Amino acid sequence: MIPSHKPRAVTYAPRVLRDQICIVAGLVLISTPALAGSGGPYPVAADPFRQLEELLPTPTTTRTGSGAPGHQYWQQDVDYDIEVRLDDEKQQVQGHERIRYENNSPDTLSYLWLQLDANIYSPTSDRAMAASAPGFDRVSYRSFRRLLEGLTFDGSVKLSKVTDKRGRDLDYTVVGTMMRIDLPKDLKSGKSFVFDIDWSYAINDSSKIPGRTGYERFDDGTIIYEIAQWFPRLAAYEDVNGWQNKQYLGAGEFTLEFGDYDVEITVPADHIVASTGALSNPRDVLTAKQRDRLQEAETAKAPVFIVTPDEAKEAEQGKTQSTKTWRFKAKNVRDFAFASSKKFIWDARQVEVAGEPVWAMSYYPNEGEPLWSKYSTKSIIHTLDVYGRYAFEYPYPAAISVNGPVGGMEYPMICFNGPRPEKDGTYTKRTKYGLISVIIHEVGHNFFPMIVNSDERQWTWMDEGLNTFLQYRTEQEWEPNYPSRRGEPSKITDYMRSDNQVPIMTNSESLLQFGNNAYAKTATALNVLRETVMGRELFDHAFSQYATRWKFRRPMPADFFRTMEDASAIDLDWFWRGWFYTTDHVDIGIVGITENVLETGDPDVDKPKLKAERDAEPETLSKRGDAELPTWADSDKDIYDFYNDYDELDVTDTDRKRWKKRRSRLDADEAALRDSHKRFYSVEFENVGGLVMPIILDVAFENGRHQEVRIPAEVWRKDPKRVRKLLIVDDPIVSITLDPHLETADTDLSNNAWPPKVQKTRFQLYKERKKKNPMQEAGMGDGPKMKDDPGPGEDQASEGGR
Amino acid sequence: MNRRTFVSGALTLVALPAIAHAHPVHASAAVADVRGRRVEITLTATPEDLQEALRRASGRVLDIDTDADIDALAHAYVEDRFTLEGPQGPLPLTWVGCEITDETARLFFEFKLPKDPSGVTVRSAVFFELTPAHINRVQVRRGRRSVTHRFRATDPAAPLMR
Ligand SMILES: [Zn+2]
Repeated sequence: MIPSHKPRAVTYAPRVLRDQICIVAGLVLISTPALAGSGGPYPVAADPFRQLEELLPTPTTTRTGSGAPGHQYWQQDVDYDIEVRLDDEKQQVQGHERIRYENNSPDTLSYLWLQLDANIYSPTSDRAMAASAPGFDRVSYRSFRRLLEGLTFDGSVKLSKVTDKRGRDLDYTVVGTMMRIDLPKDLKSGKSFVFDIDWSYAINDSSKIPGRTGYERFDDGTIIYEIAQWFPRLAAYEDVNGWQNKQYLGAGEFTLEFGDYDVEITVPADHIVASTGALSNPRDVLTAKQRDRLQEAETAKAPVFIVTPDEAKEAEQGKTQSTKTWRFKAKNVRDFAFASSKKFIWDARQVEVAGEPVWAMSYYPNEGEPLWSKYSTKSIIHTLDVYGRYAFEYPYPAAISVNGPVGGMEYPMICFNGPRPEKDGTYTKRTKYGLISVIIHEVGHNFFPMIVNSDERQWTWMDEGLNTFLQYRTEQEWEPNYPSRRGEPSKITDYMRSDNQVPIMTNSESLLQFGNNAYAKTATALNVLRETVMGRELFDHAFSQYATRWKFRRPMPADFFRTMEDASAIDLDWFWRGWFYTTDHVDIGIVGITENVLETGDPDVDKPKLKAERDAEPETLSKRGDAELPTWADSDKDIYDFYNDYDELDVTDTDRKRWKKRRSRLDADEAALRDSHKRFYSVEFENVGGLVMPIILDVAFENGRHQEVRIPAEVWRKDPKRVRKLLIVDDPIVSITLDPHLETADTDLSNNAWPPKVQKTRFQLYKERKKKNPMQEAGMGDGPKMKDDPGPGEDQASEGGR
Repeated sequence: MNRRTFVSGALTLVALPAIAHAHPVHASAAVADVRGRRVEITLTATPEDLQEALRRASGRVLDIDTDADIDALAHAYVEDRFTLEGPQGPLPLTWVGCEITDETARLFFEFKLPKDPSGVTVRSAVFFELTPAHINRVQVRRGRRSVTHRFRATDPAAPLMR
């Protein structure tokens, strides 16, 4: 919509004023009609301010209407004792586990569901079958090798024993990536069940079958293992959905139960193991020198090498048949992962969080240097600090970053991150910031969803969106002008304007565009909420309230929406509805502006002014054409009377008498207001995109002054399509800019200015910019246009397809 | 040497998402503004995807932020993988340039439509060689009308205007 401006139109007759304009007794405030009528009544279903009750689940004794855990909140408890052997010859995992399942639910269970994620690497898996075949007019050898491997590789779980604790076989059924164990007798509320499983599987080679876990073989045959989703794990059983036993198809991640782990990991004796939990047998697996260095790292101000780059290089050359068993214990975690390699350099620094020691540690091969020793551990510590302020203080004893084949993936206390420098040890700026960002992101996942245990398989945004929002905050606190990818509203406008979207509140497997939807749109929404809608203080309080309430618990979307309102006393239903439940976008435009003048009331002042304005109005075309037309009056002057000489803008005695009378009735305040020379601008806005948002204006005055006006989103309550706002100001306005700081993700800036400005596309701007080099732009020289710029309208074909 | 080309026959192929992050984010977005007979295209991608694609296409380790010939390589790359085709064959592409920032890589180029543009198809097959899971979005705008195509490796082309 192109905004228009009408010059002020003045009529000398009092009128009933519209909208929010107040009528001051005795003073005449004159308004020109609105340029376009209001949208009129709209269907109730389209009301963006309709409360969310109809969409949110009814509060229960487990989840309150305020968004907190209810007085009967419960969750299951699952503890694991695991012995696992990493077969370095065959690249296999062989494991034995004893699981203690505690039924804290009020329900009786007759079976348990477990996840066998490695079954995704069966050639007959749902993932493989459901994936659409690529149309290949061309395939790289690498892609083709991957495809062939995908057809033949079997990394599915082989179960050799499923028994109760006395060794009696249990009935079980495997359904894709899920396994159901039928209990010998019903498991009543408050009771627990202990059982054992032996299993093995082949680990995927990441170069052929990439994933969230796998091994990487280097040219010299040495290997890094990153092992995750590797043991049969209990599926979640919860108060809202019962069993979360949706199949693992690859995109949606997990939801799991909290519990305690005691894990013994047997690996080649020359390996270094990084793992969830705390190492409980350092004397068995570490050298005296390594233990001394760890002690030094407890108080060091910078990360200390526990295994130096040279020592790692030396270890790569060796070969051993013997093994060592590393034992790790972890309390109150929802999962367990580890990495193992003889290639690992290991650096560590202990920091104090809430009075408790926390190990920040990094494990990486020499191929990661010099980047990793410079940035990894520092990034971990920084992340714990910033997230600690926005959410809660980090409650685990370790936070670990590992470099290996997995590009970026999170598990409790440990994450895998891919970026490495070039082979010659140099690295680009992009690689550097890519590494810092991915470490911040993956370490940040400790908070969401490892501790605030949302259901990733169902709602990606609850962990990825919240985490990406805090990642942005953490990046901005790393160094000035950190090149953050997501978070700034202006970075998501291209996406929001496009068709073919789905709302954020969409199941993980159905999300059309993970990056934009669950990550960027959610992060942007939270940023807008913080900066523009709620303000930092209120937002930060409510956000940390949510994190604290649901720490070590399982929140649902409504718990987040409700807590943010509950802790801030701000009705945000319109915001959740628009940003999370619709695919509407932000596009607010200025439709028109009307300037209203306050007349003095004195006919000797007002009427001559009006007369001058009227006489200055241009003659219309038809009037000009008719000027020479013969008329009846040419031959019959008798038709003229009083009204032919009368001008309603001439001042009469009656006018003066009326004015005298009116003036005597004005009290002092009214007289002061009359003499204040206030100006009244009625600005009309249109909501083109559908998402209601605050209206933020930069108002520029004739005298060079600027004023920012912030109108809350509630202004759209009466009519979500059009609103009119009255600005009462002292000086003439020369221009108005909507969303001047690009904080609302407004997707179309062409209707954001009055007087209207032609908004150029990115393409046009680039082309214009490219015509001139910086020296030319500075007015130096008048050189030729750049060679590869054909200029508008030219039809300079490049060479055809190669 | 034409290393990238491999024509598959009667094989059954299985898509394996390459996961470089907890979730793969493999997408490009293009805006095509139709102005009279000109189509002005801005293709936005992640700098990493573009760098990887140009590394593979050129067969050398390059840095898209510093190497001098990125413009020429990017031109050759889109010429090959982003096409507009009319009943008389492919429409000539006019390269405008590219702009690479910390966050995004943008490629600018344009086409001239035939007098009757109704039979023109648009095909965006960029980055499909990196992973079959890649998605290319192309938003075609003409006046106030807009239509967005989503292209996958299985389905990389559609009529330009519906
Ligand atoms: Zn993530």
